[in-house]
Amino acid sequence: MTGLSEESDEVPANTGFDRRAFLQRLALASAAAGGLASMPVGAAAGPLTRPVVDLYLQEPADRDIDLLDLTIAQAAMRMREGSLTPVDLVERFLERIARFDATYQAWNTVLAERAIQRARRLRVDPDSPALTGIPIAVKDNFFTNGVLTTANSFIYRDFVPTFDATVVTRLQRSGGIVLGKTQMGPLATTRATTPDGVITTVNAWTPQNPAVYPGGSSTGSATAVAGRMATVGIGTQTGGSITIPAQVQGLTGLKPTMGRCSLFGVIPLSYTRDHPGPLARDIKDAAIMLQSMAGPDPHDLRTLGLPEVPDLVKAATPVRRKGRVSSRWSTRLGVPTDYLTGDEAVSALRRTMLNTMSNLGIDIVEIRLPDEWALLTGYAFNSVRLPERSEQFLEYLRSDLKLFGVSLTTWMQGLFVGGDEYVRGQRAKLLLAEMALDQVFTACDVFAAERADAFDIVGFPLAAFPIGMAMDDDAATMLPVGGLLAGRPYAEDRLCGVTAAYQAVTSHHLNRPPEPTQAGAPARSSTRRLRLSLEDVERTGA
Amino acid sequence: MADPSDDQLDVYIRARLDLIGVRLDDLLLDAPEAPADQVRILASLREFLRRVPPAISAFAMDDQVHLPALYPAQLGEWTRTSPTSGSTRPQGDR
Repeated sequence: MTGLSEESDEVPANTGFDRRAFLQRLALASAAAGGLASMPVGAAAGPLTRPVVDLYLQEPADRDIDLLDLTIAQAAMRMREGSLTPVDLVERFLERIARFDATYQAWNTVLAERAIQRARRLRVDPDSPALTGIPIAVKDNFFTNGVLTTANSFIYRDFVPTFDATVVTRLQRSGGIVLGKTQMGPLATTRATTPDGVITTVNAWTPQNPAVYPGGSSTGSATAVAGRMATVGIGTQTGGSITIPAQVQGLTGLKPTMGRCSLFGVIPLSYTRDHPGPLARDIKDAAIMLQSMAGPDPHDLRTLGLPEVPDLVKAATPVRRKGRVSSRWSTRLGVPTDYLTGDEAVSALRRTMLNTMSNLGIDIVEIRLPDEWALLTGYAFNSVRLPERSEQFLEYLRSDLKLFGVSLTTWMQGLFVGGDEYVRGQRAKLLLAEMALDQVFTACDVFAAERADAFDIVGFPLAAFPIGMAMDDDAATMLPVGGLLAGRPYAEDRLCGVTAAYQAVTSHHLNRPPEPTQAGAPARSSTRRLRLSLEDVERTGA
Repeated sequence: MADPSDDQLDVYIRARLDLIGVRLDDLLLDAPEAPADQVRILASLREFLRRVPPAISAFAMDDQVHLPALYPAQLGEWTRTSPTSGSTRPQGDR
């Protein structure tokens, strides 16, 4: 068995997030807001240069794995062995993009020449940073210096930033190669479409059927990775936009705690809920990515004064005890009372997932969510986020409403949340966070969430990962089903540890979608041009 | 209290938009094939106004405890008073 480390005695971050102390400290809350300007500004985190190669070298050395299917860890190992170069990898992905992206429509901009030039300049040695030579798909709302950054919107159709987003800078400092910019829901609202709602990116599992939901709004990055056109991707999540695409396309997505990753250089949707994060083939890749992306950034106050980023790569390396894969830490997995009462096939997969977790030594505990949970995470309180986008884009709303295309509704709605409702909504967020800490995370360490909303509202971390396949009657095919785990604030390492143990004894994350049947054939050419309505976007939007 | 009528809400919506310089007339009046039109936006806003403000305003909280928190996750860290209450306290780990 490879890819495993032996016993670990270290402690995951934030086992001690203390609700009572948290509430007692609230008297200082207003002072904290006023004191931000005087806080010491943390140095921007540098690239991940510490030697994680020892962990890579434990990866399976399966020579039969196609370059397109390699994880970051596997590709890094081959590069360090000398059997693969960054140029080989980039060229292979570019060939595939040229062959199939007319069908997948995952990319807005492919930086072919730039990526090859960068790959040629990179040298791989044992001290190389973690992502050296790894091709990355970047959602088109991250600023990229000198590269069109549209957010699939009329508003940004000609926008060429003059600097990189902090996250993009860090990934490149870690040796990553930006392969291009990916399609997204307009302004990060729904699944990827043109600004006026024509569906673009397809689910990589049904490349000829654009009607199948591919997740949104980080659709393009998800399809780029699932469709084997990049090793890994990054997206943003305001309302499930990393975890949902991961769940429906068989990927592992990691939405970190609010503040873990800088939002400097990201076109905002909601100041209080936007989270950058990776979409990857497995949890170790997600951990390698987040380790490089995360850390304080003087340009983003939301990232300052927070706990250090834990060793996520180590956390995502499963351990063995007495010859058996085991959870890295003693862990209680909370399960809501209605977790197994929905769709029969999905419930069966969830039951199997829980059994597997139990066999890994994880305690399964039932959690009864507070009575007010549904209200505080439902339509009305979830709408409290909307004035943030309306305020941010007010000049464009004044300029021409048509600039917002099919995504206009929620920008207009945000203008009709009163100040009193906005304030009450912010108070409700604190109540919801208290409920999560007091009534969920005192009884468990990770929680099997059914939806991302609650944890997007309070900014707690989430990990999404495949747990099997189920028949989709509309698509008439088997499609991936994803699990979703939530954790305490800044305890991404715990999520990595649990998911890594699960993936060490299961193979769902190794499933790959079928190849498109017609290379180069746009999916929409064989069917009518599907277009989302104003109502569709409002219903499915972030 | 009686629900406002559609006409009353439309007057409110248009007045609010006029006050802040947003012109609903940028959109066609009734154009189902267009990405957005005035009829659908007004319908959406009427429903939103009937559902969201009443639900939020009806929910009461303890004003001594539940302060506004833009960033609940960070707030727990920003208001720590002792490093010993920090993030690495062992608690039931192997």
